[in-house]
Amino acid sequence: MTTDDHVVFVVDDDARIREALSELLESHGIRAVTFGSAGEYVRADKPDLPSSLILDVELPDINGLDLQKQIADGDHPPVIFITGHGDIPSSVRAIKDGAVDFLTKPFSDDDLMRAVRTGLAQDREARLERAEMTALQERYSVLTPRERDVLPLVVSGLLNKQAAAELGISEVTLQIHRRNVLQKMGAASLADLVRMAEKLQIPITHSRRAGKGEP
Amino acid sequence: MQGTLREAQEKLARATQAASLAELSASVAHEVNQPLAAVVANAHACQRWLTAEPPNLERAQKTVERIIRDANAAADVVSRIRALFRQSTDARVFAALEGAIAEVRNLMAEEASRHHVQIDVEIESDLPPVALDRVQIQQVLINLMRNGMEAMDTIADDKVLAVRVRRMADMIQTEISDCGPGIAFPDRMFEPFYTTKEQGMGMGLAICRSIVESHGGRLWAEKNEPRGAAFIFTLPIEMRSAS
Repeated sequence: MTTDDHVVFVVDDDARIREALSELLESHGIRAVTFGSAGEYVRADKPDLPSSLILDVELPDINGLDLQKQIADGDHPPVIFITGHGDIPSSVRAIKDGAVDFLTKPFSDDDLMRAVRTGLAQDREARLERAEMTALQERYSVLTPRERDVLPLVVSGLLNKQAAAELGISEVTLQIHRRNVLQKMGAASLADLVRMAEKLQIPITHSRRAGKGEP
Repeated sequence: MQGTLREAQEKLARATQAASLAELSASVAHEVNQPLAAVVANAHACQRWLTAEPPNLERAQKTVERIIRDANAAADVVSRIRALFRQSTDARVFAALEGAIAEVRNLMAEEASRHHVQIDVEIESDLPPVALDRVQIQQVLINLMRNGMEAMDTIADDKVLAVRVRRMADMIQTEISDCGPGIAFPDRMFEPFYTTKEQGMGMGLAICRSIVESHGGRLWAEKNEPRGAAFIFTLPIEMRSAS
């Protein structure tokens, strides 16, 4: 009944809340995995799927907001806070630190599911982004040192002639390198390659306007 | 479930003994709110199981059972509070109010010095003992004294909190007065959830009044002369039989 391409984690110390939330999520066809404390959640082997984390603010071992800070460095699912008594300073802090929503118990089905779906969509996006980045880095790693010299010159918009002069090679040789770079990076066009270079944060040291630049 | 109930009960018992009434009411709200949140989530789930094509009656039945269980847990909390403040005459003993006040004064000494408040206690001699639940009456005293001290936070000097106990006909009357800015709404402040404090729940005075009334007495507020507020409560000298 539930689909297996995403999962929602629930961390709350009250078994009744865990039970009710996992029932509610399952009635929406979403698989839920529940934990009674922050420690349990952190230690658990979690499925590597797009996910959201529903996190109680008042946990026995650690404040939910502090847990959010702790996991902020790693790749963690978007957080939806739930709390018994929501105060404004905590909710502001949570949202500033990137939480999807801050819901006061008892909350409505609509509010929770909207937040869960937003969180899942965000995580799906983030995972795609990470996968694309990994692929790009892998492709970049197979470039030869010479090709890595050519790449920034080409994407900064220098003419072949200018780039060739920059490296002290012939225009024909440069064209061969350039074709290899495009092919190895899987770029369909120069514009595509520029976008990839931006993602990889390759510094653009030359601009066409600056002409030949200093030797 | 027995476990969480017992835990809640222990928490409540601890809270009644040690914490202020404000903390107690926050913990009561939490105890009621948790099962309510579960009820709401289960009810939404149940609705979804019933409107699914085809309806999933088995899951719907399961969620209804949980709804009944959790709603009863919330009701249990409420009835425990009732028992705590209305029907618990078992814990009452005949005692001199003087002893209860002396203990509270010691308890509050540190807080008083933190607020730079001087506590003056004046107790008429030879007062007859009254039937009281010591813990409950001490809570009333703590709550009223704490309110008085906090009321004087805004004034600079001569912070005096006076506690006077005297006999008035067949009642023992205790008056706790401060020299703060006084009271704006003497009638409304005993209503539940009425508060002037940023952090307060507005339950303190409501619970105080309920405790005093369950002892057969009355609690009200007056203007203190020349300034401030006075809270006065009475306790009957002869225990009236509970109806």
